[in-house]
Amino acid sequence: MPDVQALVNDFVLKLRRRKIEGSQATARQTAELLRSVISQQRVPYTNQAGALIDAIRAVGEQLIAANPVELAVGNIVRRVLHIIREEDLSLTTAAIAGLNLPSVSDDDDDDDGEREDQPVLSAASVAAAARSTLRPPSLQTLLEDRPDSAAIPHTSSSGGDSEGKSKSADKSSRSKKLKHDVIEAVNELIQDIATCHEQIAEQAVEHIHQNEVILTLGSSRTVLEFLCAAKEKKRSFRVFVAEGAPRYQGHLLAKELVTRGLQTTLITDSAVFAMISRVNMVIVGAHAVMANGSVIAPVGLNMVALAAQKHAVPFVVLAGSHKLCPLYPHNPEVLLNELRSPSELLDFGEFSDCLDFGTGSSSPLLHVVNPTFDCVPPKLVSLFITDTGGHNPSYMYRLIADYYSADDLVVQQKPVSVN
Amino acid sequence: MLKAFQQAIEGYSTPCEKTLIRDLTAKIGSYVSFLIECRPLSISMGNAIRFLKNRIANLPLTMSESEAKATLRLDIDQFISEKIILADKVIVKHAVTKIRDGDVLLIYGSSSAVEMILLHAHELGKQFRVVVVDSRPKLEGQQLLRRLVGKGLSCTYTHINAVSYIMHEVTRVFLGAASVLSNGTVYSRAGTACVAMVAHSFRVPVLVCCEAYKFHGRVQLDSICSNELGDPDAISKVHGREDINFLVGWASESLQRLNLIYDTTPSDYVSMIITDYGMVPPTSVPVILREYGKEQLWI
Repeated sequence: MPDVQALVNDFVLKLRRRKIEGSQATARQTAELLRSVISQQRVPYTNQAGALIDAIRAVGEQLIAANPVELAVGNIVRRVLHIIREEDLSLTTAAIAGLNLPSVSDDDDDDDGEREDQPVLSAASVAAAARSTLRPPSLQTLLEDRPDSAAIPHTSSSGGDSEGKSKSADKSSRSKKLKHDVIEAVNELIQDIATCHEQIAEQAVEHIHQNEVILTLGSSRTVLEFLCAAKEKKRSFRVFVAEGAPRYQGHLLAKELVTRGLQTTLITDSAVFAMISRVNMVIVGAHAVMANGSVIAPVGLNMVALAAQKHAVPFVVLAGSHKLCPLYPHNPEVLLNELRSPSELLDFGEFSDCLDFGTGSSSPLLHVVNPTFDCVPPKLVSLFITDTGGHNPSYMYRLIADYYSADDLVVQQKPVSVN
Repeated sequence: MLKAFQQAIEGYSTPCEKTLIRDLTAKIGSYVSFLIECRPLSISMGNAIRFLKNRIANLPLTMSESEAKATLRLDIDQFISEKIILADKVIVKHAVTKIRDGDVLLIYGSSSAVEMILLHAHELGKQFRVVVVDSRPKLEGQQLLRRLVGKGLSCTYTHINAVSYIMHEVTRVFLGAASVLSNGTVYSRAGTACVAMVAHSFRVPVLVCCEAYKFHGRVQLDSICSNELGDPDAISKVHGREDINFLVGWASESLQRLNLIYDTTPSDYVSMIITDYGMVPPTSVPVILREYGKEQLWI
């Protein structure tokens, strides 16, 4: 499928060059790309779900490798894999349920018309389908190092020609149905990603009362919609916006809030500790939420979270469900962080004399450090507000079961062992 | 400021029918009001002025004008040399013992005492790295960075938001202070409290270097009750980054820009205060104020 491969390469290039801003845009584009991959993928008659999963895994591996720090990509890949498994499972259970009905109606009504309406199913073919559905790895598959997503159906050898015709008929209709269902579910996923702001903003009015003072840092579209929704419901409050060096997105957010009619005060990041004693609540957005409830957030938010804990101010994180990552963070400051250009902090022209190498050892005397993200540990977060409602940080791992399958945590294909 | 007062006293002559003491005190008072109009006084300036007025009030009535002026000039010189210059030397001598080879020292903003400590330690041949943390709107760290790199110290430069990122490799934090208040709270440049808080959470010792003449007898719990406000336009305009000018020249009644100059660091974040009276915990500040008395503190 050269068409799809070109799309994939294009997207990988964009990710690698960090051209896509924001996890929502990334998530949406990833989902759309995977949808194209699915619709273009030709599935065989047997084990079609396995084929789809292999295709998505191959593409997903490339996407994740292009920008490992953008966790939304991996999240969407795993969501789509989970969707495929779920749809396959539900189709099989529907098939098995459908098998029971003809046997019952046979006894009661000898109505040929009814029987013809239902898909032609024989007990053997349904059992074969059930076996070919993806199952958790058995000891045999683990020992033989077979990828568990492509569970070889045992019926392929024992099938025989007698069931061949009926099987092919219902398998092809099943495969079309599977692809169709999966694409519908991916469309729903794209829809969810697009509307996550509204669903989060609906909960604003429960948390913001009258005459409150809210602190935020940098700029997040979710936070903006959240605050404006509270304003629509006639809550009066004022907002302190910390500017969020070195990107200074706080200036943007302050301007937006003022144009929508909110009382805003712009402060520097250094004044956060000074002002937090007068603040009722801290509301921030996140880049990603890890499985243990810790938050990958724009740099500076760990400082704000510590200050909020000291003054017993609730620290609320708004995150759409596409930001929930099933991985646990290990050494997140290094592995999940990106260092940006030092020119945002120091002007190269002014400091060109300092950037020379030192006289003694030949290592430069001046290093400039400009990290993009901070990791906020779960004990500093009071509440997560997602599109499914408000949750404690200790509950976030449970939501993973809703969205992801355990088999998909490692997206890389298992390497073929050569012995 | 004291030098300026010295010159003013030199050029002063008592008008007839007025006593030196009262008239000079009134003159000094008028100078001080002028200074306050330009910019609110810092705590150390307030202490110095109180010392000067105290000296003037204690002049014996029988002294002639030229003698009085000479005495005052000597007093001011003594104050400067003992309380400021010598005090800095003593602080440097104490603090250098706290720097070991292989240390990574974090400093914030630009403090003259801390700079002297670092340069002296480097001259003594100690091997250490410096992390300079800077913040808007003053960006004072950049000039300090230039001076340190010029002297050959190995430095890392970052901004205050990244202090959690860098703190895991730091072994000591050295901070300067505008003043230390009587409840142990350190009153210093805005952002110091954030740095001290993050250092405390990473269990890194925080050492504050402050001369004794900056101690004050009042107490303060947070940064809002008493502070100084800087120019709000300094916040909207980001120097050197022309792409960030959303708010330049754009005013609205809903938008306020708050430029705090100072903030208060609670005493539990400070491990030790290095003064010319020795290295003391923050709880000893009211003790120093009391034992060394107001008269003795200022000679």
